[in-house]
Amino acid sequence: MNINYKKLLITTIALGTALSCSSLDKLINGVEPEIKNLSLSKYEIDPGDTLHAAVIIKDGDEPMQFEWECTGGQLIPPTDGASVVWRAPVTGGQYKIKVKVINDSGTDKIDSEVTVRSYINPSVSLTSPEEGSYFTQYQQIHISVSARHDNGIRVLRLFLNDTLRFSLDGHSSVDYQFTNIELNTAGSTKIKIEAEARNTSTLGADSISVNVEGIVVGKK
Amino acid sequence: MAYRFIFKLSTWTLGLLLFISCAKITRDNILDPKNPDSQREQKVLIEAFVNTENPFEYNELMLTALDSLERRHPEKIEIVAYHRNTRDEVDPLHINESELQYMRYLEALGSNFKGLPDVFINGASQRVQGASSSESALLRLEEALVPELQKISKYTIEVETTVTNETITPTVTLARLGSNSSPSLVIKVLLIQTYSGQATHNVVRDISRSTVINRLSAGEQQTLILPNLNLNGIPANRLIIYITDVDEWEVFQCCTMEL
Repeated sequence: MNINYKKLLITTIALGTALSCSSLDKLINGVEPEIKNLSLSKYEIDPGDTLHAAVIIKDGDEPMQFEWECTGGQLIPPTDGASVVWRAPVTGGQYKIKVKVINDSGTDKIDSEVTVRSYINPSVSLTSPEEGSYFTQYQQIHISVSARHDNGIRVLRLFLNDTLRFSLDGHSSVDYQFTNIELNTAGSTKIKIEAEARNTSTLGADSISVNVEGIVVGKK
Repeated sequence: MAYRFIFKLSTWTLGLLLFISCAKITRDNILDPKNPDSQREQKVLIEAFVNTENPFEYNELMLTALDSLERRHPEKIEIVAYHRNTRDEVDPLHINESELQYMRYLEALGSNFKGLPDVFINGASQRVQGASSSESALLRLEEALVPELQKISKYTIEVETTVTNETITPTVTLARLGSNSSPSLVIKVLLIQTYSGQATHNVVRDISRSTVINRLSAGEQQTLILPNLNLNGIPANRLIIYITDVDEWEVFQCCTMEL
């Protein structure tokens, strides 16, 4: 068997060079940390409860350092490992747990959000119309409401004389408006707004009474 | 001789004094149209559009409230009622002219929201619509009336009439008060039949055609013979005369005359 060692050598060198460029770079400069994810044992938690946070590393040279942070609540020592225990604050809302992973070659960071439930009732204020206002029967009015909750508002409900008439989905702003609400019944009318919180479904409400002055519908 | 001289001197002195004092007479009577500061209290015209032939009591409640309002301000307001057909109910006191009046006021307010009772104060200056109780209606009427009662008018009206069996011919003398000339104006006359035994119910039975006056100078008076109002057997007992702008949106002055 006649082997061409020269060709074989060139081919081997070319292949080896192609394959080992990145490895060579790693070999020379080291490998910076690469985080795969930050997992939490719970993503929704009651005030004062604890959860475990663990960062999973995909790649990187040892040794690595871990720097943990949070936007509220408390990290319970030790906080220098790949996992920590976090205690939720007493105030509900959205909080972030953050971690930065460092080695000699560089850093990588990630955060994860957790909801702390609030069992306080939503605050609701019916800002317009004013208590005791006068309206004409069948007149269309606008009802302005301010509503907030640490977990956000899931839904707002409008009751006229204790009958559910309309619902609005919650959003990030505290200001809501029910538009073109027709007042069909003459006499004193109770307008009640009920807000339901996200996560805990606690309820808050505000109400006023207005006067609806009766009319006989005019000729077309 | 001395007496004669003294007599002549005193006559001349008296004459001179009279001349000087006459020349210096100031027109300080506020009711004198030639006084540049002249003015009158504005009598407020309240026009209620109602229908009393429906099963609801809203219109009657408003008329009761208007009755109370008239008792509170007897010298300062004139209340009239235009009866109007509704979508479902015919009112026998409906007249077509009142429909135009109603539409005119809605146009002034940019509204197409019809419904009775509907009350307009000094034209479309104020509007009070609907009633759920006579107390609430009275409260709202009083609130709306406040700014109108504070208005001062630059017009005064006097009326005479010639009455036959079938027609009434009003002769109106109109004066412009104050120091400025007026814009073009419209004079209108309402023929009223008062229904006793009910809430205030000065029902408009006929409306004169609009009479336009192009302009009045400060202090100027004009006397006009207005178009006839038809009695047609109506036992009318009053006229309401009022001045308004050419669009007939705002009333500037009104007065009444018993027949």
